[in-house]
Order: sequence, then C-alpha cells, then structure tokens
Amino acid sequence: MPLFECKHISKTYGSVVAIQEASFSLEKGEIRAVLGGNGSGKSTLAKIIGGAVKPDAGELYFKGKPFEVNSPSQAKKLKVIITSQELSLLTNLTVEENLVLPSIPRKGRLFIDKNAMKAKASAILEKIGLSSELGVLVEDLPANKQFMVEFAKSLLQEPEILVIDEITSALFRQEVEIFKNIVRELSAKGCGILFISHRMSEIFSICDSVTVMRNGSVIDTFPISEVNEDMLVGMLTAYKENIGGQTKENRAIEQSDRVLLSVKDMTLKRFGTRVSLDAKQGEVIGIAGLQGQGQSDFVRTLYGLNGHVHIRLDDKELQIDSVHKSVQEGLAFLSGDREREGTFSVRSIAENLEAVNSSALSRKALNQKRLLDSYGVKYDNASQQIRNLSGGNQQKVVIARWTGTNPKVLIADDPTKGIDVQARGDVHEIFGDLAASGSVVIMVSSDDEELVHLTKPLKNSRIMVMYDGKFVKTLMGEDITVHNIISASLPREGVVGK
Amino acid sequence: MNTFKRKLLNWSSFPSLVLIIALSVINSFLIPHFFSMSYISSFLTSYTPLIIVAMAQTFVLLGRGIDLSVGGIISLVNVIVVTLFGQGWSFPSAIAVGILAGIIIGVLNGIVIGFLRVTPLLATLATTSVAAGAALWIMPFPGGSVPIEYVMWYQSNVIGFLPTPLLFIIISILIWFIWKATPAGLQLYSMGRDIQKTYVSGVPVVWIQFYTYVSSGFISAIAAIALTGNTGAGDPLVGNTYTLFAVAAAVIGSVSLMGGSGDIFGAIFGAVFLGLAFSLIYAIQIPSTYQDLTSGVIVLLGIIGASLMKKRKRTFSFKPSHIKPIGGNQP
Repeated sequence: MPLFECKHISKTYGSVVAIQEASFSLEKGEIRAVLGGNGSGKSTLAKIIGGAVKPDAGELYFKGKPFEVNSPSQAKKLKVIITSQELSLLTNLTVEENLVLPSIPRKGRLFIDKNAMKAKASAILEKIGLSSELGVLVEDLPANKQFMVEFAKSLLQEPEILVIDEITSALFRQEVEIFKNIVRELSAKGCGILFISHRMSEIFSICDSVTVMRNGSVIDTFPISEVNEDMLVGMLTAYKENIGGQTKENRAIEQSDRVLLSVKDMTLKRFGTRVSLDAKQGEVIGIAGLQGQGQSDFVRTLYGLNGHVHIRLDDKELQIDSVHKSVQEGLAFLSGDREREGTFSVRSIAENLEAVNSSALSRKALNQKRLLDSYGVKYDNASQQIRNLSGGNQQKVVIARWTGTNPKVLIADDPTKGIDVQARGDVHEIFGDLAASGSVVIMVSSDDEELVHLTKPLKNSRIMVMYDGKFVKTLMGEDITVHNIISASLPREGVVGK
Repeated sequence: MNTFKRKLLNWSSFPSLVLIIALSVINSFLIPHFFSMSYISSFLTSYTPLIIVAMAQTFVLLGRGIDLSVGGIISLVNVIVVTLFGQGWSFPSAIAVGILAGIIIGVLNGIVIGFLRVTPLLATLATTSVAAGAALWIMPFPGGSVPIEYVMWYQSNVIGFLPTPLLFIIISILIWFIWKATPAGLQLYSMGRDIQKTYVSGVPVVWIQFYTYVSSGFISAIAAIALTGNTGAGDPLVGNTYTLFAVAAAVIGSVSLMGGSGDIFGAIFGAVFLGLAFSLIYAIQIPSTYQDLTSGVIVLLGIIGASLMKKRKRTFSFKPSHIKPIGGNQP
C-alpha cells in the first residue's frame, strides 16, 4: 500500500487548466523529485497535497484512507507538511519563536514554557548548523538562513509526508549538504518526501525517483537510475515546435542600428546583481526564465518602481527617480495584475483609457473610438464600467491607454496572464505593430511558448533568459525555441556556491 | 557598546521615552514645582485613565485591529457605576457590574470582528455608538456621585508614598505580562505581522482576535473606574475624547498601526507625553480658544518626532542590513 496516492486529480482556475488528470503514488521513505517547467502544475500539486487548494476532481489517499482536508492546519494535524519558498516565517519574531509557533510548548496549561522552547529550538538549530542564530529576529537573517529556518520549522512538526517546494534555491553549498543529510535521515525514518526543484544535481544526488510534469499532466515517473539530465530536459520540452513558424517579415521595419534604450549596470536589489541591456529601435525583447529569477525585478526596476535608476533613452541621459518621470519620458508599463495595477475596475472604459494621457501627461484627449475599434475591443459604450468586460478586453483597454501616449518603450510584465488565446494573439499583434512603428517592446512572460509565439515571427526580436538575477542567454532567429529557453533556464550543472 | 545600552536604543518604546524627557525639561522651566511629589501625584490622578486606555488600545493595534469603542466603554462604565451606586447598590458591586459591561462590549467586538469577519474600523465604530448611546440612555445628564471615600482614596497614596492611580496602571501592566507569558502573546505579534502566514502555521487567529478585543474592553473598564475616582461623578459624554487620544498615544509610543510591532510601555510613554503636553497648555494659560489648536500641533509634533527617531534608529541600526541576495551564488 503506497503512503500517498493521487488518482486523476484536476484543478482549473477560470479557463486556465492547472492540473489535468494527474495520478501518482509515493511510498514510505521514498524521496521523489517533481520536475516541470513554469505552469507545469507542480506548485498546484504541492498546494493540493498541503490542503491549501482543493482539487475539482480526483481522489487522494493517505495510508490507504481517503485524504480529505480543507485547510493547511488539517493537513498539518495528519503530519502532511509543506515547506515552500513562500516562507511562512514572521519577520518580527525571533528564530525560536518562529520555529515553535505551530505548537508552542506550555508550562501548566496556560503559560509558554520558555526553557522547553529554547531547548526544542536549539536542538534543531544545531542540526541545521545555525546554533548561533538563537534569539535573532528573522528579519535580521539573510535569505539563505531564512530558508534553512523555514525548513527546520517543518521538521519540528514531525512530518510523515514532507513537500519541499523549491526551498533549496537560496541555499549555499554547505547548507545544501546539511539539507540533503536531513532529508535522507527523514526518509530512513519512513517519511515520504516530494522534492520540487529544478536543480538537477540535487535531484540526482538525493532522489530515488523522479516524476516529470508538463502542462498540468504527469508525463511519467522513473527510478532515478534509469534517466539522465538530457533525457529529463528532453521530456520537459517535448513541445510541438511548429508554433509561430510563419515569419511575417513584412511587418518588421528596416533593421535599425540606433540604440533607443540603454541600461548599464542596473542593480537588482533582491539579488544584488547588476544587469545591462541595449535595445534597438523597433526591437521586441522577450524576457524568459523560471519563475522568480529576476524577470519582474528587472522590468520593474527599469520602470522606476524600485527606486532611482539611470538610463539612456533616445540619446538622452536620464535619471529616473519616480514613475511619473518615467511616464513623462516615454516609458509605459503594462502589468499582468490587472486588478491591482492595471484597471480602475469601477470606472468607465473611457476614464480607464485616459488615465495616463490626460490625467498624468495633461495631453489632449485621445480618439477613443478609433483606438478601441482598432484593437477589436468588444464593448457597448465607453461609459460602462471596465469590470464588465472580459479579461482580454480589459487588458486591451489598458494597452490602448499606453499606446495612445506613443511610448518609446513599452514594458510588459506577464501581460497576458489569465486571458484567452485569441486575445493573447491580438496582444502580440499590437506589440509587433508598436515595435514596427519604432518603439521598443520588452515583455516578461512565464509562458515560454508565448514568448516564442511573440518573437519568432518578428525580425528584430530576441529572447533573453534570466537565472538568479542575471541574463544567462540570448536567443535570436532560428534559436528561438521552447527547448532552448527551458534548457537555458535550468542550471544544468546545478552547482551552488561555485 | 554594552548589551543594555544596545537593547535600550533598539527598544521600540525608546523614542517616546526621549520625547517625555524632552517635554519634561521644558515643563520644568514653565511649571512651578514640576518635579515635586504633589505635582506628579496630581498629574497621575488626571492622566491615569488616558494611560490605561492607551494600553487597552495597544492590545488591539498589535493584532492589526483598531478599537474605536474604548471611549464609548469609558462613558458606559462610568454612568453604570454612578447610577447603580445612586440606586443603593454597594460601591464594589457597582464597580463589578461596570467592569462586566466593559467586558461585554469587548466580547461583542470580538464576535463581530473575529468570528463574523467584519472590518474592525466599522465594527467598533458601531459598537462605540451602542455603548455611548446606552450611556446616554442610562444617564441623560451629568450628575450623581460616588462615595467620597473612594475619591479620597484614589487621590491619595497607598503604602504611604505610592500614588493610588499607579495601582490601576500596575494592574493593567500585569494583564499585559500575563498575556505575554502565554502562547497568545506570541501569536498576537505573529498575527499582527501577517495573518495569513500565522493561520497557515496553525494558530487559531480568530480566537486571538477575540481575546484582544475582550482585553481591550476589560482594560478600558479599568480606565473608567480610575476616571470615576478623578471626577467623582457620572457623565455620559466623558469618554468621547479618549478614543483617538488612545490611538495617538500608542502611535507616539511606536506601536505600529500595521500591527506586530511595539509594546505596552510605548503606549504608556505616549500617553504620558500627551499628558505633559496638555498640562503645559493649562500651565502657561493659553486662552481656551487656542487650546485645541496648540494641543493638536503638539500631538502632531510628537507623532512626527517618534517616527523620525524610529527611522533614524533603522538607519544607524546595529543589525546587519536586511537586503540580502536571495540567490546563493555569492561566495
């Protein structure tokens, strides 16, 4: 009898399928890697097991009994624990307070047993090599140590199933070694472990088996001895590569060598790295990579959302010290988070359209009807609230808001999140046209296929892949394929702290 | 730098302590006998209710809530105690019923906010009207009285030298220490920082919220008992001004409105600062038409001063900077 079993589980968010008919089982003491690209459904799977998300269909069994939990705390009671890169630590508490928070030791019935708390915490801290951090506030710990404390917090809950979601991504090499030893120890005690990671070296050194996921489906599970890195990358990227094959050369403007936007050694605060980029007039640049490798940080920093930056735009040296300044200088920013950063949901379409043009730039009103019609926005009249439109149409209105101001550079941060395929295609078309008119378009997407679809048909385009806050690869022309993007996104050697 | 000094400088309540010292120095020049025992005693007599109600507010603020009903509770408890005594109840049992009323409003807040998930601002805005409305219904006009022995006792010293109002403050501080010693103390700070993460860590956040409002109601009732000793009479509107001054005192004492940081001593210091400011205004005899303006400006300066010092402390912090590369590829 397997320790844990999923049978045909599915989960959709609106029109997006996160997991489709996924099945797998985990044995007692098994260390299983789960490998997949962006949007492969591995994080959703982790959330379902941890009780944070309920599947739409399918069955889950734990120790042979149906596993029905409605909240993370219920899953915890059954000793099914998740530890994830979205840390559950409270930064205003000390390390030991965080560690014991799920079950605070008591003296009598009422009071905290401070000694027991310290003892419990020091034992586990010694194990993970952080004895010296007893009594330190979590906000004063560097990221790698925070990740270790998060891991230790899950260990204190004595898991019988432990789901480890990308927790090793911030660890130093010594810490990874400690981490591996503890995982092996857990497995010897009979704990089943799901290790979600993209680090091949770690997968091959500790896991017994690997489950490959793609587009929300479980492709297959293999004993680790039967596969190698190339086979796994191959399976991750077995897409139909025919998408976006038809090159629309007529749309591309004459090859321009004029650099419109130049960024030199811009610091990405979260990573402590410096990045540079030169974008030529008419260029479309796709920014790719695994989630959270600095793509959003890069575009947001460029737009002035993370403080003062220095750029060279249209042969002018500029100090961007506010978003207002960047908008005035001709930058435009399109967010994928329409609800919070895109639309003013209870205001009219017309007001949403004019939000930048007449409100921020005090220019004369746009020709709204022409703009809306040219983008094929389906609407009754411009005075209706924008929230009554579909997601795709809302996003088109927001795009029109920016293109109406004739931006020099359009920055888009995952702009097609949650909108349908048809609208997606339209958005790509608009971006292409904007570039053809001499602007630069920089687009981040978590969907590699989409980036290929956007850039491949265009002549002046490239895809830049980020890893750990740096650009690690530039793909152009025929090299733009999903396979190449994924291959560049994964740290193949996977060695940390080298 | 020794540990004590470092701890003191990093203490969240430190800026408000500095403000108190600064204002005390100013007051000592302008107010005769400012440092005398009798002045301190009369200062405590007047401002103990504010000090205590600021503590009550702190419980709720730490959990990222707000309790606008504290003023209503003070009025209600005050009129209940005075009315029951007037109707021939023994004074201790009148006090007991008054405190019970404070707790009941607290429980009501706790249920509406904790279990029914209504926004604290709206919920307590409504319950303050309930409490203040009930106070007006019970006693439409100021009046009544309490035993003169109680007023005398409140305005004298206990054990020879300790001003009695301090007793009330000490009781409230004890409640705080009991809280801190239980798991709920830890859970309160964690909930104030991030309710979602706290929930995911298996903490019963709903109950913690509930307890904060009950504690706030209870401690506000204690403030009302102290106030009754100072005024010696009932007044259905007496609590009105306390609500926002309690919030202001807590903020001056570096209790964050965003929850999760600060402590009760900051609130005490903040309330003392306000008390010093008000007594300065009375002492230098500012015409009553300008009193509100002047006190408003001083409150504003206090809040600005406290938050500037907080920022400064961050800048010259002894802690390592928080911004660390998230990737592990640095040596």
